[in-house]
Amino acid sequence: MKPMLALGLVVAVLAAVAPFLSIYGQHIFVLVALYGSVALAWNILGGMAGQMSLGHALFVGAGAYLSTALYLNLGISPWIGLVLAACLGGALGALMGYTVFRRKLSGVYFALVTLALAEMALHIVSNVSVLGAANGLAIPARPSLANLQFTSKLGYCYAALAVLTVAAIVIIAIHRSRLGYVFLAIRENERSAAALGIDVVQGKVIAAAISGALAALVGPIYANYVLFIDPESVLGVTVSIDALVFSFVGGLGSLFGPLLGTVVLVPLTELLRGMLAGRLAGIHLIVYGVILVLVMRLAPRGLWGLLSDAIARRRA
Amino acid sequence: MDLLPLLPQALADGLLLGAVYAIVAVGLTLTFGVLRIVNFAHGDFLALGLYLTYLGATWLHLDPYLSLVLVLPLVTLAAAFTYRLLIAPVILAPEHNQIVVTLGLSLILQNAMLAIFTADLHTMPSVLSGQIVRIGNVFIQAAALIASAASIAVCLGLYWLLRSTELGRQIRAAAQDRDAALMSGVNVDRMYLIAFCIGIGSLGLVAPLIAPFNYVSPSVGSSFTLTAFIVVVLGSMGNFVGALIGGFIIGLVEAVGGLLTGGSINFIITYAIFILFLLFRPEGLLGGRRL
Repeated sequence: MKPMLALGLVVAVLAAVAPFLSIYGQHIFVLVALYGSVALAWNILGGMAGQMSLGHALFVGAGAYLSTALYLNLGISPWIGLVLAACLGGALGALMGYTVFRRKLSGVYFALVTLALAEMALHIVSNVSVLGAANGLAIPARPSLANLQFTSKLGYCYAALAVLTVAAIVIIAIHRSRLGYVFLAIRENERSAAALGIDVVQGKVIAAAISGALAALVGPIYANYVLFIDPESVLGVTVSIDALVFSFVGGLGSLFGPLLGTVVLVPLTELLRGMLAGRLAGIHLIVYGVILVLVMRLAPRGLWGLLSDAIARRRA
Repeated sequence: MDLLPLLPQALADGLLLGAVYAIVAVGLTLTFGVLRIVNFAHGDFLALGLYLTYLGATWLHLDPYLSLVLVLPLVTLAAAFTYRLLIAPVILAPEHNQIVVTLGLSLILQNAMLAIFTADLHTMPSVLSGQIVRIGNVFIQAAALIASAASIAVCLGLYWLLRSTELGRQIRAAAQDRDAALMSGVNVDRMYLIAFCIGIGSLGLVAPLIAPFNYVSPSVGSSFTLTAFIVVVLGSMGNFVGALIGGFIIGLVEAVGGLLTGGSINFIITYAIFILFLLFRPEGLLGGRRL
């Protein structure tokens, strides 16, 4: 139970610290927790099971649009929307995984299918008027716990932290179970995994389903934090790329490297944005690109790899 | 509304568009076929070429066609630098790492252009911009006709280069079996460099030609990259003729689809074709025949 205990401790510390942060600090807290959750979700499929997706925006967007559309049109509480979003994300992940992996598509073909699916979803949503088409959906501000809206940023900090905690618990649980070894075997060598009697397709489908469900959980929280969603912001390719960047920079093979990547890059982004005050749009993406290339060249195991190497060296 | 009279126009537009898609896809398929690297920054080099054309037009008052003499070498040079700096070091790395490096390059190029030129759309008029050729009820821009003809000519020229010259033979050897080629005295690294420079350099040739009837913005590149991927998968990755056929198919689908559905719904059709192909025939129309 040691990792769970450590997780509980970290979450408790974060929860205790959150009220003392400035408003701006709390904003960063929310962003890091939300992006971190998507990155952790991405890493279950991309890092643990080794199937690189370029379309996780599909899950985030599906979750955001489902809960928002249900709330706006039928008055269904976003809490129920949150549960349904996870179900939808899991179902989409399983369906996508089943159709793709059954046909033995992997590597770049898998990346392209996922990219195309997310882009197609973006164009479909842009043409559906119930979903606000290209203009997006605005959520009227009615703060109450039942509406998953809070008067202060602190409430959102806890909501985002809760999602992050769920993702972390799932990852630790997978890692300690047989499923974790199945994912590892698939990632390292599919053929030997199959030879050992592992159902490779089933393993990848499960990874896609869990990954999709967790990513979809972020959608409703994000929608209720910003109170506005449009196709580009939740279904756009940048959402998928961000998850990938954070994971690779943080360290693909590790359990919590993607979170480390988020913790470093998101505040850096906000800092840059503040310094440049709106000039030179996109500069943070140049920085992402440079860091991505440098990490691939100099430290393919990411920041987490660097960190654990340094610790190992000190102990030795 | 009766759409039938508009069909010939749509078909003509589709074929013109398809030829340009074909040459962009041929560059992508060449780098994939030879280097086995999927370049997610491919289209961004086209955007780079368009911006260079734009600079030529604003700073030096060059007609897009004249700026060809500057844009082609500059884009090719950029390709050579990119190969040495980024591609060569990961040529033997796992596929994931290669994809991530080209994605990173795409982020850098795209957003550098955004930072320098802002998101505004720019046009690059030429003396030929207003010229229209009329065939029956079909109206064709002269510039588009030139661009398509040049695209097809370059595709065929590259095919000839690979098939019938000593250089092409060595490039194909490097593509087919890296180790065997090395042992036979082929400078594989050099062949990779040349193939990459040709693949990207062809974009430097196309950019000034499509400039008179196109606009440029930083996101032009990624839309061309995606279209090029669709074309390449349709025509089988690494297959020249396939890229040519695939280019025309996607061009026609977009033009006729745009006529039938009006607007952005035809993207959905294109993506649907792409996904169905990836799922049911990932080897493409022409199968797995390589360079």
